[in-house]
Amino acid sequence: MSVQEVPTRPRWLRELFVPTHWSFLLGPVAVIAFVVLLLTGVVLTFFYQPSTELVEYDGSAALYAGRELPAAFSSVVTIEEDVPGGLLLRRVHRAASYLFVAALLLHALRVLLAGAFRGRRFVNYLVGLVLLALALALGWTGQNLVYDVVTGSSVRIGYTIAASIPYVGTELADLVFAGPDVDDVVARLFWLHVLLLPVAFLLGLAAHLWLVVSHRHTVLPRRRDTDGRWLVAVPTGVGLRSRAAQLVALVCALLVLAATLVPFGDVTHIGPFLPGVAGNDMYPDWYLFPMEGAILLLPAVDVTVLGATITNPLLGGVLLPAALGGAALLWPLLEALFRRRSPAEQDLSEHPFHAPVRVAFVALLVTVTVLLSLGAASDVIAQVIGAPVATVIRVLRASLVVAPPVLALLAYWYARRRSRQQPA
Amino acid sequence: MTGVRPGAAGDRLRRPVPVGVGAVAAALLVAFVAGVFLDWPTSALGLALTGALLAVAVVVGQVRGPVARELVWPDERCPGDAPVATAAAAAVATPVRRRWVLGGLGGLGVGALTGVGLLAWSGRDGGPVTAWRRGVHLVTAEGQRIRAADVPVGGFGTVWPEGSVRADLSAVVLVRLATQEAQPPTVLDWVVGDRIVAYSKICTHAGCPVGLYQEDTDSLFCPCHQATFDAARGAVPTFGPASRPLPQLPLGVDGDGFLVATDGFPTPIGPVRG
Ligand code: HEM
Ligand code: FES
Repeated sequence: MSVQEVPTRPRWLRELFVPTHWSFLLGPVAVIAFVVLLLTGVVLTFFYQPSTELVEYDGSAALYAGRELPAAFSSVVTIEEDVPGGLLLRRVHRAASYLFVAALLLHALRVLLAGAFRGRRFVNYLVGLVLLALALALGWTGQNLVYDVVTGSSVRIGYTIAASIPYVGTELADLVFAGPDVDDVVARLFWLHVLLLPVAFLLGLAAHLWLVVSHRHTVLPRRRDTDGRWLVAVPTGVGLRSRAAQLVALVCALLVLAATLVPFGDVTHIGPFLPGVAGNDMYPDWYLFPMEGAILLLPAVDVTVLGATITNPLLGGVLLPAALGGAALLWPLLEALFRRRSPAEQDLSEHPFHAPVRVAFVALLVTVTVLLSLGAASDVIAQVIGAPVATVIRVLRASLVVAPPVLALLAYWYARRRSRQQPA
Repeated sequence: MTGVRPGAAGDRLRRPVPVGVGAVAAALLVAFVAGVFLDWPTSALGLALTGALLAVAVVVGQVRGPVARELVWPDERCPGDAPVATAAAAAVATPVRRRWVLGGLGGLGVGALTGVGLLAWSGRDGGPVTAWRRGVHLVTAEGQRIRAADVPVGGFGTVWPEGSVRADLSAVVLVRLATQEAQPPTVLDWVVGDRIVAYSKICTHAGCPVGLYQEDTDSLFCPCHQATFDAARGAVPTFGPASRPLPQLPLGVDGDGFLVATDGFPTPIGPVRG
């Protein structure tokens, strides 16, 4: 048959929704989760009060009956207890935020491993990195709206990290956080979370998707034909809308089911933020673990050069994340220098094994991120294995130096062996 | 040519939509909406909505057809589209775009520099201000003054400057050392009865409240990132990511035996700034 017979479904859908490999669906899943976040977020905004003033709680939660609570926390308790379906709504918002960030991270990993950042797609890779940063900011500002015990410390840490930047840090931090007093911050975070960041993300997303369509999605190589040319898989367009709708329904069902079964972000056990109070198990949401772990694992540093004081929060909260992000950002440029391919070949979704150095690089990034995340949970690890926290921290510090290069080498060796067995 | 023949008419139901499933979806959806108004428990609401969405997934998934087909690449993709390689070549070098990009980057750079300059020019403050002054009494969260004799071994957790209870950045830990007398670098003039010391509660690492006092080692411990301070030796950090001691509050006793600050903190409290 001839190619001409194939119906041309909307081209944008064929480029954005490519069900020829499951990993191509990670981006769409993130978009679906984002839409769920927008919808649930708008409804939450009707009931949430971005204020830290103390009010007397008069809702039906027995635990807080008659107590003075910060208005923000009180409104969250009201959403949970007295708004019909409010508990489910909050949990779906939080579950969707987890799926959103997880899908984005995995999507970025897929793009890296498959070399989908090469050639003209580099611009869109940069847009994607910006979107990832915006997503983390959305999550951080969101979880602090609750104004529970964790918020107090979380906001302080955020302020400290911003203020640790030499020369301009304090001014920058005051600009974003309205000062080190936790009370003043919540209104700022609210507008960032419900207006500024979502709009920024939407604009970035529009640019990202437009670029995907105009650059075209990479194609999945199947095998060589007898002439040595590639046979690739592309969507036919038939039944594509139906499959896309099915994915939307399934993702939503998954989120609602998860929210029904798991008490995501339950506030009744944590309690409101009150000055001077600290809990023993205070953790940010999981996707902030790498940064939290970085400032925990890196040693105490305090040196002044040229009037700039370099401290642990600067190293772990600013420079290390910047280094990881910068490495991801620069990698495509390095590849463009050392691993040239024809423009046409860059449209193939590569099998990772055929780029062993890239696999090693990704292994390095992932190992560092995972070890840093473990660092944030070092007291839990200590409890579980029954060792002193200090020991766990020392072991993790040592692993942070040793493990990434070792695992990168192992990954390189394994990928090279596999690519020798199945040459491209 | 290995193309797979797609359905000639595009999307088409492979078999009649199972009416039953559609009805179930509608019923569950109605149940969910009714449940919201009738204030059903969360689990009932959640399960109804999950069921409705799953049924919807089944219904919309009825349209089937070959999803993917194989093509020889890079020679052919769908009709009407430029071959991939041509599109790539066209996108690579467009001088106008390059000029835009460079201009944009330049603009961003100028903007960033201006911003940094403005921020740096807007001046620095001397760090967070606390309510501690000479003659301000230490009080509990309930506002009660504290007699030196009443401070238990271990300590009082958090105490506040009188008149500013729960002023976040003024929080102080008051400790009666359990195992030893205070030693330098603790400022001994600011210690009451050899063992009662007071330090800022704001961790010098990243600003969490220093939560725990461990009696067996006389150390203060921050739950956020495990910074540990030696309360008997001027709260110098002994483990973890904090680089500076917790500032010591000059402590004294007034004529009636109540604890009082004899001055403000000697150094700025809280984390170091860049
Ligand atoms: C797009 C990415 C978004 C992410 C990752 C995100 C994440 C979060 C998180 C983690 C929370 C804390 C959840 C909780 O404990 O209940 C939260 C709360 C909240 N979000 Fe979002 N959100 C997003 C978008 C939005 C949007 C677009 C809006 C509004 C237009 C919104 C409005 C709210 C409100 C009002 C709260 C506080 C209510 C509460 O905690 O119950 N969010 N968000
Ligand atoms: S804030 Fe206390 S250890 Fe980090």
